[in-house]
Amino acid sequence: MSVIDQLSTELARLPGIGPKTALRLVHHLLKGSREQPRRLARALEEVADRVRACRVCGNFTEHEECEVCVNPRRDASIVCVVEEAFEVGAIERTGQYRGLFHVLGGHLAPLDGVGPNELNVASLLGRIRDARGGVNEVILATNASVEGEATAVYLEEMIRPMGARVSRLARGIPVGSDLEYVDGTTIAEALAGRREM
Amino acid sequence: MPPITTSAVLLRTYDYSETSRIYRFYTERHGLLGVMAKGIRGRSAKGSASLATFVTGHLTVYVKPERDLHTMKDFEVVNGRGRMGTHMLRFGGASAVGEVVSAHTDREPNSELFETLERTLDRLESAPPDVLAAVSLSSLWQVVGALGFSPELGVCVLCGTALDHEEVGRFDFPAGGMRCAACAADGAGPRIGPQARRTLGGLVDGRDDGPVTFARRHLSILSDFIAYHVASRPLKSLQFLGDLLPPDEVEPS
Repeated sequence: MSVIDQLSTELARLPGIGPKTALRLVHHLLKGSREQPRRLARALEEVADRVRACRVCGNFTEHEECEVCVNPRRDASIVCVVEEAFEVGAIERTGQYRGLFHVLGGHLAPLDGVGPNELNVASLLGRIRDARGGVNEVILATNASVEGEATAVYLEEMIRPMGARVSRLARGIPVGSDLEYVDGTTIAEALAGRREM
Repeated sequence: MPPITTSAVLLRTYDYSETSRIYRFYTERHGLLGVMAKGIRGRSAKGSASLATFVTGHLTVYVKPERDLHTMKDFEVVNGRGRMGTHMLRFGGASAVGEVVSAHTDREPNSELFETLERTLDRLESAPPDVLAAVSLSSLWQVVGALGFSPELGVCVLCGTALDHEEVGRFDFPAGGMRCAACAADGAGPRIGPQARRTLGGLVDGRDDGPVTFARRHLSILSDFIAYHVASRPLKSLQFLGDLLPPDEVEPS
């Protein structure tokens, strides 16, 4: 296998990149300056060598603990549980949340053999236990799918006896959308979760 | 080729690229169908929220003969089954039912299987928590039956003698049912006493309105039966379901 094929095969393993796009990317790298692919290679090596999971929350970090966990201005009494590390960024971008995070690393998936032991559940429970009442609320921000719901139900059963309040992200109509175009399931969820004005 | 529309139950979802998904449906008219939904993950993709696992609806799809993956045109929800994730046993039982249907190698349409799948998922969604273990086991046996593999419990699978009500026999997995006491002597399967056989018969027939004793033992029999007759590979969801069932307190007779 040529080195060009080797690189395009590796690129094609990435999400959203098919064989044609991979080959196009390789040609783009070869047509530019020689320094560009070297910079990319160095950046990939740095990521592989230096990025790890935060030992507290499981978020990606270059240190023992991530910048959210070590920030003294964050509210340590609230922990928001997400499925994947990139969802931390989605919540952070809102600018509305000042608590801490916990990354599960996925959701319960019986067909893939993913049970509670395959997720970062034990570390979450240990964190709440070690805080000795310091965690007042756990927000379950798992996805609004059957699998996300089941994961949230499981976590709620585990966390509630520890004394923390357990909440779930609200579900309903997306901001800026027309009711006419929203599907029935979403409208039903929005009706069930309506709030008094 | 014009699209076809058929009733379908969504069994599994895989993300594909940044914007698309692959869905695995069991359909009334075409059996198992793998379907690509392009752009469904996009923010404005209409209907993406409705496509949750275990939903039933009218699937409109461009079916290409000789292909494994077809192209989805539309999906209209008939039964959202939104409560399936509200209890772990509900979720675990439904996942196991879905995996048994997916794992079966016969890809021909089977209207009895479709109807059984619909009925068992509805039952799993609505059953109260105290009977969910029984409903899960019963649902799986009924799906196995609809696939054409009901176990023989009333007559010895070796000698053909009718089993006495109080007879203690053995379950013979390769033969697909009970051996009588006389034929059980040189058998290797689990011993099944009269009470366990009555419970098993009830689960196979769909009588699931009470808590089941020795649920893990019953799941073990079901798992081995499925491994022999239905699926060509181990089913991970059965292990998941087993971890959710209440522990068996004492060894059954």
